[in-house]
Amino acid sequence: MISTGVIGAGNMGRYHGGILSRQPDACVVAVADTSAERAQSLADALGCRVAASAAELIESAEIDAVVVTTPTAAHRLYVEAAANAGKHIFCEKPLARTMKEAEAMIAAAERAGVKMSVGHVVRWFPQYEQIRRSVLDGTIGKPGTARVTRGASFPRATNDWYADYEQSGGVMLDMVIHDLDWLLWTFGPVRRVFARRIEGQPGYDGGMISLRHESGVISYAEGNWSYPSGFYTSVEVAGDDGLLMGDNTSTSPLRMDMREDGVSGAAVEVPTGGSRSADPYEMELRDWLGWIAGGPPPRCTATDALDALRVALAALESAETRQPVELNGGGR
Amino acid sequence: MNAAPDLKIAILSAAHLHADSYAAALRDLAGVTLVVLWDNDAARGHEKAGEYGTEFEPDLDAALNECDAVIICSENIRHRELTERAAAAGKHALCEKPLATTVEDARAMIETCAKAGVLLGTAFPVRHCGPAFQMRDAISSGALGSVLMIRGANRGTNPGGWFVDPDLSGGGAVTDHTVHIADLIRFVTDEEITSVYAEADTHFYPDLGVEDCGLLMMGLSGGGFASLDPSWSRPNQAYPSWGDVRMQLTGTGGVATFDYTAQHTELYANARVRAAEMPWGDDGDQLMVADFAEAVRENRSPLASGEDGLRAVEVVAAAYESLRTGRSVEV
Repeated sequence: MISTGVIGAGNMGRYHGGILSRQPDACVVAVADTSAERAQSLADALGCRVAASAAELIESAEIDAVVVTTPTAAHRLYVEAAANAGKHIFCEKPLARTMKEAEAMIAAAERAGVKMSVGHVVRWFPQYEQIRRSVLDGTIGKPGTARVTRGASFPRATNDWYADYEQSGGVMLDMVIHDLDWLLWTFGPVRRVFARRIEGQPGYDGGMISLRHESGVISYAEGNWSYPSGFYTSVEVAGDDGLLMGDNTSTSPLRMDMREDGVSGAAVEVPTGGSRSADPYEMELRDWLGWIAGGPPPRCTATDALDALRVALAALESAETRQPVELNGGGR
Repeated sequence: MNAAPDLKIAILSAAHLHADSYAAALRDLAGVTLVVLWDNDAARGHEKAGEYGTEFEPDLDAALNECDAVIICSENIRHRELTERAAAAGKHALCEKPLATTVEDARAMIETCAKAGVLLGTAFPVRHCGPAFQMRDAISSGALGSVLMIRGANRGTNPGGWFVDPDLSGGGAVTDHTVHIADLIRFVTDEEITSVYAEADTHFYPDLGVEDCGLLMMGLSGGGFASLDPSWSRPNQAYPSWGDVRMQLTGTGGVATFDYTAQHTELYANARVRAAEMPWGDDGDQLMVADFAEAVRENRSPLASGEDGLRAVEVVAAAYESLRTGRSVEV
């Protein structure tokens, strides 16, 4: 039995905590949050205790592993503390706000010999997995171009931290990084990045990224937090012998339009795979639990997350300078 | 009351396959007659004239003598010469896109037509359809708010033939498929494209000699930005249509998603190797030819003018300059 603690009782803490509490070989023993009320609410839902503080949770002898689902800017603090306390770590994406933070976190985990995985959950979404497999097995010949888009309304959360670009890095760092990770995983390292993002428009965010991979593939990633409502994703890969394409509206097996009062849309959209057998979030956590239990390394390692972060930060830099940023393979 | 005499139109060259649909549009349009087809390729001219139910005329001056206005569907490289010949003969011209292969040629065409007192239009059928006007109205009314970002895509199959001979086309997918979206962005938003960064390569047809894929990242005069995929990335033997023209505009007031060919019926038939899309919505080609005929009668500019054609050519030129320099360049 792997005993876990959840730090950060927001949207993702709630989701991951729920999954972990249902696993036969894992449990959640404590929850910590800067808001006692939020911590209590999640602890009640999971049937576990509220930790006196994140530090108390991390130091707690009964806990083997921690899930860090705080706002991005706080990841380093808790991850380093957890590593120093010898706890395994599951950290939500993006790994950190800066390369320096992310590198320090990885170094801390390596030093302590703890296992850290990062929540780039798109790798476990069946359609993305299938499209990647079809690319790699040559179904469409040699890939030439790829396009990935992801859109939702502007996320609402504690202290409106998503809107604080210095904290969150905006849509590029928080959401497009999912697709950047998938593009790197599928098409390999990136040579060059060009990007633009919406600036100076409170309540709106959006970004478009052009990637040139070392393989020559030209890929495009777009993130949009300016939809009035809804959640939209699309993915397409064109090769010299075929084309793969899919999007979440045309592949949704069930659509329900319900009458609702009050605020439209979810605070933060947590898209699901739409399948009974395979919840991508559960699969990513099972991968991590299996690694802790002595199994093979997970599908997404901290180094993978670092690579995605490097490309996302290059995109932010390009959007700032309005000129391409050369990575020369650094964006693995 | 006597009806006005039919407007006499000549098609100059059937090198571009759009000549087929313009000929069909002319056939369906009241008050307009396709009087002659000129072509520098006599075999093609004879064949196509037969198909179109018109006469083939191998002599350009003779063809120009017979008509009031021309529709130019030659290889891109000949657009300037044919437009200038038409202007010299006092004939109005609707020219296939891209207006020209260089900014210099496009400017010269506009100037020549202005001096000759004839109209010059650019064949941008996409802006003629209903949803393009609806998006434009939603911008001008303020409903969509200010433009934050626009995703554009105009993908196609590989057109082959002269399209992949740079001496006749001027370039590959970037030349062929940048201008529709560039024009649609300008038409819908009333903004100009101010900068272009481009990637391009030859990935789908290795020995093609021109680029078959790419990605343009563009700045807009209102402070927003746009992307465009102009690739010939639709599999030639499998894709159910010639390609697509798509645009998604995110504004402060909402999101508009445009699909030029969405209005179609899917056809699966055992007689066909692949599925097909049978369009039933607005026919941009038809609406554009009708607009040109009306413009000539009313002596007003066609909906997409020569200047509009020039603006799109400038974007293409900027894309190639970006590819040469590896920088985002000003238009």
